[in-house]
Amino acid sequence: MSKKDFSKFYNQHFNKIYRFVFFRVGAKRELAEDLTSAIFIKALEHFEDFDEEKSRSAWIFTIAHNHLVNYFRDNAKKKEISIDEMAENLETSAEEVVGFNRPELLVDGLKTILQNDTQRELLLILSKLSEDKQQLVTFKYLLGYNYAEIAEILKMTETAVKVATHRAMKELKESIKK
Amino acid sequence: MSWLNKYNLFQLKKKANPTKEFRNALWYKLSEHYDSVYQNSVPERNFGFAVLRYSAVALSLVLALTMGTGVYAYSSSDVSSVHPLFPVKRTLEKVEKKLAKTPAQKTTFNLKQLDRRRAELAKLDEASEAHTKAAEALDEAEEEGIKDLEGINSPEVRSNFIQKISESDLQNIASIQKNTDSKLVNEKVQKIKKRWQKLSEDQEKITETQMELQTKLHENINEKEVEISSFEN
Repeated sequence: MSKKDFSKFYNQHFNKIYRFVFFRVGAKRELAEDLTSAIFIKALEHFEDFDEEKSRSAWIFTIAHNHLVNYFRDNAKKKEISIDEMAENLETSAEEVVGFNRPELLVDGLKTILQNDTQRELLLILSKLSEDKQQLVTFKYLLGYNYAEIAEILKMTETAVKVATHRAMKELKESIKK
Repeated sequence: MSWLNKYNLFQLKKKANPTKEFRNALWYKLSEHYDSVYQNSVPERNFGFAVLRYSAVALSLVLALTMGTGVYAYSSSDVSSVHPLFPVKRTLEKVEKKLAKTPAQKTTFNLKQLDRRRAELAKLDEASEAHTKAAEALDEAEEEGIKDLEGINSPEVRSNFIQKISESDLQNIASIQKNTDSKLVNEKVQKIKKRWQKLSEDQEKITETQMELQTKLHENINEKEVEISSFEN
């Protein structure tokens, strides 16, 4: 694969991966930059091994996901915070717990950056949806993935993703009305 | 309303966008790293090689035009810690450090980083606030380097780095002597003392490990000699 291929790959995925990391680390820009750099360095070093038959979106997302899981695991060790303690902190300090087990659930990280009441309320309601629905709304509207990419990452059909995302948005709308 | 929800989500997405500087800076370093990783994996066909060479030239031109800010930030000593482009410089440095795989490569990077911080400091007026900030940045770079030096066995790498730190501390001591604030002087002296204590402790650990290895080696050699002599007898 040529440098041109890698450049195309970088341009296509950089923003989405950065946003994913940014939300996960509680909107700490410097840390997000650090982790995103490490993720793309890893991707570059294994770019030759990439199987052309597979989805690049799913591939880079897996690298990012695993990198964050490792980061949070190592960080938790350093801080000596147990999983139970983390769970207790969930309501009060999202920064401590973001991404510990499920980095793809971004809502906790988002709580820390919200100044706007409407957006805060929207996310609180979003966080009450089922995990699958949260994930679909996040991928589509917060990270900027298209339906085809989400289907590749979540190993679903594109039609199923469209239908499920539509239902999730409908549920979000109805919850807001209440 | 659905469109309002979508709009609010869109606004949140916008808040999480990366800066253009970071995007360009990271690409600049990745592009350099790509050349070092895949330089030898160019297709054998001459045509392919020519195309790749051509695209490399084109890419460098594009980079030179689009990456002007990043390159300037990275290479100019005018960009010190109070300069608006300093975060870009730091991003490039961080990526460069991530690309250094071995402890020795990391120390080489740290030496380069120290040189940069020193060059920045040298350009500033001693009485200015920018000078104080740049001195803090140099101090941070030194601490980072000392931390990375921990456990490095190579005497050459160690002595190169320690040489730099001692030059820096000689300058620090010279500037301390000019200072009249006794509290500040005491703080600085304690810091330098602590730093050298750590460096000497690290050195002792390494010497101990090396001594242990040497003893083990001698024991093994002696055992082998005994084995050989008993075999000969």
